[in-house]
Amino acid sequence: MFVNFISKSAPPAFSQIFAPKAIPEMTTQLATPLIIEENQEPEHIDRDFALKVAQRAGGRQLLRCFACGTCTAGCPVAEIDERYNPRRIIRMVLLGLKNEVLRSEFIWLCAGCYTCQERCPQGVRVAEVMRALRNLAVEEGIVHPAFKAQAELIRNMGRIYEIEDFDNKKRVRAGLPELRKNIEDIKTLFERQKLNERLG
Amino acid sequence: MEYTYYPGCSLTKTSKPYDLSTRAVFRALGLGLHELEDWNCCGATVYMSVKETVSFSISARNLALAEKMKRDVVAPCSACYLVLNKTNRFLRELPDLNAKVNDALSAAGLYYGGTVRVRHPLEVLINDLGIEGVAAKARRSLKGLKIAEYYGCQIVRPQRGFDDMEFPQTMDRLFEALGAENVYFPLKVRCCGGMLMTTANDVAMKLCHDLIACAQGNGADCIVTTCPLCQMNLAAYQDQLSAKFGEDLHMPILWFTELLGLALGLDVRTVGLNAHLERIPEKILSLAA
Ligand code: SF4
Ligand code: SF4
Repeated sequence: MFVNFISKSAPPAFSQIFAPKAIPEMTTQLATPLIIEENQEPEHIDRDFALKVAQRAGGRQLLRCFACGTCTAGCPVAEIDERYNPRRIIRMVLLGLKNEVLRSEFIWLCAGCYTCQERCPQGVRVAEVMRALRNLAVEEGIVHPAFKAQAELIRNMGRIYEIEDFDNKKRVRAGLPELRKNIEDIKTLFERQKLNERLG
Repeated sequence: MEYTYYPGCSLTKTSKPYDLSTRAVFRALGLGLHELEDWNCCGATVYMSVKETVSFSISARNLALAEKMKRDVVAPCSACYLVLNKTNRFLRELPDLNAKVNDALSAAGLYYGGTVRVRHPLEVLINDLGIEGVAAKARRSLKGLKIAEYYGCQIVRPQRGFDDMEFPQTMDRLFEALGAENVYFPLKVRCCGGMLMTTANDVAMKLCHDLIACAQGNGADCIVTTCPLCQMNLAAYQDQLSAKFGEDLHMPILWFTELLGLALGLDVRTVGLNAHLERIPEKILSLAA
């Protein structure tokens, strides 16, 4: 005799189990209906800002941020100074708050330790975004004085520290070749990049 | 084995012992270091922050010069290691940037084809000689010395390079093989504050305090590091740190090449241990006796 071990009655159809419940119609009305017109955004919102940042080296992944906060949770700077918050900065970029971001001192507070970047589940290169934001700020004429001073040294000499006669004497005594005090190539590279920027 | 050596700015001034000891250790291990001729600043974190295209170009100038030498580049400074690697990576990823950079280089009669491998001396020793290979050349044991190995940020991140980015072990295993004892030091890759020492002093001071206090609390005789900036931040402000936090935060901060040099039989002056800002106790100096 054939015994059905599985089921006496036929299982319910798939569509019966997962049939969506009817959604009750919305009865509440907004007190004042929203009026959405073209160009009603606050003036300071720059719709293209996130895309501009995304076009920078290491910026593209920014658009994938889902605001989980892993970056902020592991950030050593945020732990000490809670005004600094990488997730918030990323969110502000995505919302197009260009001036608020570029004019804030926070973008200069990132220590560049890359903890956030390595831990971000979405592959956002958070530290690179901070670098890109500083670059954009500089293009708007906003630059942190400490960064400016060091950048000028590199531009003028090709190195951060000046090589003095004393250093070269020591090098020669140790059997090393002298280092040139100024590296002309750096000015050449700099001029060429500036020229290219002007030509677009 | 022969390598092109890229010392970088810090090693010419604030981190001279790191330069001396790296050269001496490579010599003692029979590895050749040939300094890159007419090198310039790697572009540094600073310049990256203000003008990245120029920064990539000046960084690539070094790589273009090194490419002609046809050898791997050894860069002891963590920041140089990171920036040169980052330039390599972005030039590969972004053809537009590559074109711009090579156009600028051509104005100086140079071209970079993207073939240079930039390596950190720790990784070179571990992979090219192996821990056993290094230990076999040791002339002294580091027995009795307790160390907190501090890797800092930039050699483990963001490249996913040669060691774990949360809990690296290469330096630990190396010094263990040389007889030293490693203390528990969970802040191995915690940031020292880097440039924040000048721009956001409070933040950097707290980070440095945590690092030294942790190493001290776990009984370390010294912190051993791979980075000029970590060493400077931890070593140069010990008086201010102690005053600010009301604790004694004095502790020797060595570059890994200095301690390795002592184990290889080099003397205190050869590795530059006589040129530290912080006091180096007898326990370490006497290793060279
Ligand atoms: S960790 Fe990544 S995905 Fe999460 S909030 Fe930060 S940037 Fe966004
Ligand atoms: S790289 Fe900057 S934002 Fe990211 S964890 Fe480090 S300090 Fe924080």
